[in-house]
Amino acid sequence: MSDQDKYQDPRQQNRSLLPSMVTGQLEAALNRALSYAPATKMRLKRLAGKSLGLKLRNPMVEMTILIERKGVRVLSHLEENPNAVIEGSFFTVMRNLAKETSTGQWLASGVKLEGDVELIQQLSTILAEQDFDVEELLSELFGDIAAHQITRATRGAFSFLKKAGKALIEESGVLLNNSEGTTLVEKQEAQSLFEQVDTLRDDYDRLEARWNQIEAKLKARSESNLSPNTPTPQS
Amino acid sequence: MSEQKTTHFGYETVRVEDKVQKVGEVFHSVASSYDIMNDLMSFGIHRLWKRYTIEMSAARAGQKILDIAGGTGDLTMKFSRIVGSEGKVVLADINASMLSVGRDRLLDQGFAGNIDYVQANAESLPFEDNTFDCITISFGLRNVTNKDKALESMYRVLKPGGRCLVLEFSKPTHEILEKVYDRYSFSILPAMGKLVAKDADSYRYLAESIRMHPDQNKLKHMMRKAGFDKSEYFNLTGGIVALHRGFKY
Ligand SMILES: C[S@@+](CC[C@H](N)C(=O)[O-])C[C@H]1O[C@@H](n2cnc3c(N)ncnc32)[C@H](O)[C@@H]1O
Repeated sequence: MSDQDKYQDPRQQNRSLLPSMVTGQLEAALNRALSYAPATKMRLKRLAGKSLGLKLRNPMVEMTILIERKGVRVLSHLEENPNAVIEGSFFTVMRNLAKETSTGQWLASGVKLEGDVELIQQLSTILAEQDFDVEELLSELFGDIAAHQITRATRGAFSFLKKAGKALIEESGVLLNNSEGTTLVEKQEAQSLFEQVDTLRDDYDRLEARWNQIEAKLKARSESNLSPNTPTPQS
Repeated sequence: MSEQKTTHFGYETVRVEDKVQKVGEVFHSVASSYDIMNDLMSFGIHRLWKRYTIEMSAARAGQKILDIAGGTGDLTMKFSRIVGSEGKVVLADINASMLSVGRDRLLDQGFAGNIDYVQANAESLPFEDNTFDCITISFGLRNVTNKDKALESMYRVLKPGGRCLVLEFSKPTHEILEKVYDRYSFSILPAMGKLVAKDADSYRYLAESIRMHPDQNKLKHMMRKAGFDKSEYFNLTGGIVALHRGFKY
């Protein structure tokens, strides 16, 4: 019997619509941000047709970013064969993406890269451009209340998170009655989102400590011997 | 009972020749109020089911997409934006009334240039082999008389590497949900249909046809039989709806 003949337990195949709503918001926010950043948009255009998979932890999120000439699309699942995949913790990945990060630095921060590593580097170079404000984007996405909660819990966290905007919590409140007809979001789904926010807050403390460690280590090494064993695709 | 001679029209058993006509009558009579009813019936959540479908299509600029049984064109509209000027979306439906409501609506909203409108039966699609990168049938397969034939026809016109997505009502995975849903669809739905579309019978047909539609695993198997690779499904809203996906390799 082949794999596809197998009976799938219907209960195991249940999918929440919530991630799809969140990626919908993320997509809109990204494209809005891009519309204010023509230089970035131009550079991104050159990567049109490419796709990037993200396998993130804390919170657990899987998504695929499709780069098109007109902007980006964000899918709430991991597509079949993206050009590249980044696997690691949410904040580390976001942070690395938001600044120019070498392959060595990616690996040193505990993130796994697969596929077209050059694409990932090109993306982080583009996103690190002056006119594209990742902080602004995240703040728009997550909202003030979340930012407030997160910063209160973490004081002196990464700068973009400090600003990170209007509460995931509030966000899900908006999702409960936004125009996309999402009035049916089950309480349970919202609840699990809140729990994720809590976990996220806890993880964040640990992450910050870990990041400080890594940063200290990175500083200790010179840039030249940072990645002696890590092959970069350009070399 | 031979599939060749009789088939289901909701809970009724009718002659195969009659089903097409009866389904036609249903959609002809609901065409004008179809969009409003969709929103009311599903509390607007059908938009999310459709958004999920669009996501799972992973459609890209420049692609050729077939939205069969596309009706008033919800998916077509989204695909039209995605595929852009180098791409093409074909909105196909067996029913001229639905198709014309769809065309007017899309034109009104400024969608033109990359959409073709084709009156066609899903069972015998009038396209060459290997034409489309992606084929969707959303809340349509249930109404098709010979579903196996339709799936085979869709497989034929799909390009190698392409995917087919079937969005359809399915079987709730929890008993309680199933009971609530039964209640809703057999009493509230037809009442709503009577109120808004002035047509309780059509919406009773809807409720019945949902029950008669193959469940998740059955449909998955049918897709596999039609030739699709990696056929699998994803339940949405507790299995009230399922999205089936199959590839052609
Ligand atoms: C419930 S509507 C779905 C419309 C649209 N896809 C949506 O999701 O809103 C079902 C459509 O299937 C069409 N249909 C029924 N049998 C068909 C067939 N054999 N071939 C093509 N379309 C068919 C009907 O005319 C109707 O427009």
